[in-house]
This record gives sequence, structure tokens and C-alpha cells, in this order.
Amino acid sequence: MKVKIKILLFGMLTDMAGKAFVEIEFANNIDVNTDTLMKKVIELYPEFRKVNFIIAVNKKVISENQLITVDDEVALLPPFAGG
Amino acid sequence: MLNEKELNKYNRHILLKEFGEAGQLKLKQSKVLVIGAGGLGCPVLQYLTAAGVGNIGIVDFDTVAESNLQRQVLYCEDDIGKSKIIVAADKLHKQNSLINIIPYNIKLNTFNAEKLFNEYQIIVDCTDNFSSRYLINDLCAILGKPMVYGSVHKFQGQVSVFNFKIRDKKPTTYRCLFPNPPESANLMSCSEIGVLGVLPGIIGIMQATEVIKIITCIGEVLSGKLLCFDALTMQTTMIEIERSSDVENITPSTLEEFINKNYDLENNCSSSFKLKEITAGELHELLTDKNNIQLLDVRYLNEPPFIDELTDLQIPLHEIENNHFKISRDKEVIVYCKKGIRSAVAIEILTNKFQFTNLINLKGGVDEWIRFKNKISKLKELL
Repeated sequence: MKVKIKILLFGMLTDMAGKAFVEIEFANNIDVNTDTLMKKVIELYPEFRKVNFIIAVNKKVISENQLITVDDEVALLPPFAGG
Repeated sequence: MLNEKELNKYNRHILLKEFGEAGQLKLKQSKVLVIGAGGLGCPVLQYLTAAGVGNIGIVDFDTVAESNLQRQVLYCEDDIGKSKIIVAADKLHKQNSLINIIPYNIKLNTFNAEKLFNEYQIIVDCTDNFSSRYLINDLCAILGKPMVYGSVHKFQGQVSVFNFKIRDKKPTTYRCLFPNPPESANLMSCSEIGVLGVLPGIIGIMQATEVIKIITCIGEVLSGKLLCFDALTMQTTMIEIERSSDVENITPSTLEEFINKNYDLENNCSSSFKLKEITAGELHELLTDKNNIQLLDVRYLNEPPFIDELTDLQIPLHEIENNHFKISRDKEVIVYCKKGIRSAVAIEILTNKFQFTNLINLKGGVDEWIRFKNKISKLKELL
């Protein structure tokens, strides 16, 4: 069995991925945290590395690694430049 | 005290019991500095003027361009080529003659910013680049002034109020979100990225709302939160932000440190790099023997205008690093985009990271190419 974690993308990340969210699959018997999740995201989209985005879990900016479950809402927010 | 004219003009504000005459008087006595009179600045200025904010400073050094009119609603066709702050000040004065509008035709830097900020209570960030945003953030943090932040990207916008103290809690700043400017700041600041015209209107009005709330002490100020708005889905997401523990280590703590800091990201990036350029006319000559050159389009895929004679290799700027191997190393490669800005960034990346030496930027991009071609065909008609 596998679980899918959905990650919402904003701004330039949407342009780079060509879509508004990505789904990352994990075996359901392992612990997923934000570090492992980001590693997979960067593997899929190496160009994300150039954008200093922040990670929000359940609408809260996180400052350190934290466990993620299927029900958590993960969002990646890059800075915007336009005015 | 408000005079009779003011009581009449601001009647709909005064009728609000949360506001009353006292709230309107606070607006009249307030001083707000709006930095940038573009997409965000226009609605901020128009609504603060209408609301009766007594003293409004405007900072900008740009002139009105035709491509501004799609979203910068203070300006009209007759204003093209004129100084933005002069036009803005004139129109805002006509909109409300009871307030003071103070235009500053300057580019903000660490030397002129402090004196200016000291004249005002609230700073509204309506800029379109990271250099100015970090500069404004850091100076607001040092001087203890609220910064009402807004920015846009295509169909999305962000709003927050930084450096706004609630009781004794240390406030959040822009650096709590994004400690340092992005590596690709040049690329992301590129004014060529499209934006839905109404979007800065929506975001700017939210900024103006926050300014009015701060002055009149009504409601809950958008501090410690980042509002993210998406015009395509009309969804608003509110993200909680916490004050970062190392924000003090990355923000200048004194005015002296601030003045000596280099905020000019563009200069930082291009210091050791010399761009080779070609004009549309020179390219026209080169095209007679297409075999010796490669043409590289770094615009988004399917980005108009489509130019048949320049179509060769296409790699959008954000994919350039992963596709550098497709670019010729022995032919002369002419790199182009719409205006010649993104292509210059592409050349810089390719030169610095992948040691290319054969890249030449098309000055003025395809816009300039089209102008040149039109000129030629007009000349031919005359002959």
C-alpha cells in the first residue's frame, strides 16, 4: 500500500512544475517528514532549488523538520517580486 | 477638528460607529509614504487619497509607459512618457484637494531612505523588486515603523503587515518569511513576467485597507500572517508566520550598518560579467548566413509574438540550466527574449555556471526586432 501526499504550489513554482500541485507517493509503513518530502520534491523539480520558498504545513510556516500525515496540507510559497 | 467641508466629504466614514469623527481626524493627521506608483501604488494612492489620509508621500522615478495602462489605473494615454509621480500627484490633488500629496522623484537607496522614512508613520511597499523590498524591510525594522507589504505574480498576490508591534510581542518582518533574497532575484524581478491587470488592484486595495486600520485602530491588523490570494480560483489562504529566531542576525541592527549594506542585487550579480550585445540591424545582416549562428529563444513556450525568421532553439529561461547541453559551443549564439532582459540573465547564468563564451544578447529583444523590421518595410515602400 502507498500513500499520496499532496503539495500545493504557488507563484513561480507553479510555472516551473507546470501545475498547481504535486503528489508524492510513499509506502504507508514509513514515517514521512518535511525533510524527506522536500528531498523527493527537489528530485522531481531540481529547479525549485533556485527559489527560496517557505514550507507551510496546515497553514503555518514551519521552521524545522516535522512529521507529515496524509491529512496534512502542505504548501510551498516562494517570494513574489511584482508590484 | 474637522471642518464642515471635511465632515461632509467623509460623511460615510463618520457614520461608521467604529470610525466616527475621531477616526477621520486620525486619518487627517496621519502621514503615509507609498513607495512605487505602479500596479500596487495606483490603487493604494487612490484609496488613501479618497479616504482623507492627510499627508501622502509618493516615491518613484519611472515614467508612464503604454504597457503600464493595463493595470496602473491612475494614468491615461496622454500621460505616456511623463513622470509617474508628477502625473499621480496632479490627479490625486484633483481627486481630493483637502490633503497634501508630496511627490519624491528619487530611486530609494540607503543614503536617502532614512530621512524620508522619518517624515512618515507608515511605509507602504508597492515596489516591484527585491532590492527595494529588503531595504524597506530593514529600515522599517530599525526605525520601528510598520511596513504594509504587497506583491504580485501573474494571477496571485501576497499581503502582510511587517514590523507592526502588538503589545510587547516582537513583530514579524519580511526576513522571517524569506531571510535573504533569492539566488535568482534578477530572474524573478524581471518586469517582463505577465500579470493579470486587476490583480494589483485587488492586492493594493487590501494594502490600503490595512493602512486605514492601522491609523484608526480598528479591526485586526494583518500582522503575523501572510495572506495569499489566487485570482484564478478566488481562494484566499491565510498562513501564520512566526518571528524567526535568527532574524536579528541577518538584519542590520543600526543605521550605520544599514547605510553600508549593499542592497543592489542587480549589481551584485553582474559585477564580474560583461555582456556582449547585438542590435537588430546587425542581426539582420548576420541572418544572411544562418549556418554560422544559432538563435536561442528563452521566452516561455508559446509566448507571443511568434517570429518565424528567428525561430531555432527554444529553452525557457527557468529551464536553461538543465538544457545547456543543447546550446552550440562553436557557433555564435544569439540569445533573445521579449525585451532583452531575460536573455541577459540567461547569458549570465550560462557564462558563469557553464563557461559559455559564444553568447550574444539581442538588444531590445523581439520588440526591437519588430520595430526594426517595420522601419525597413516602410523604407522599402518609400523607394
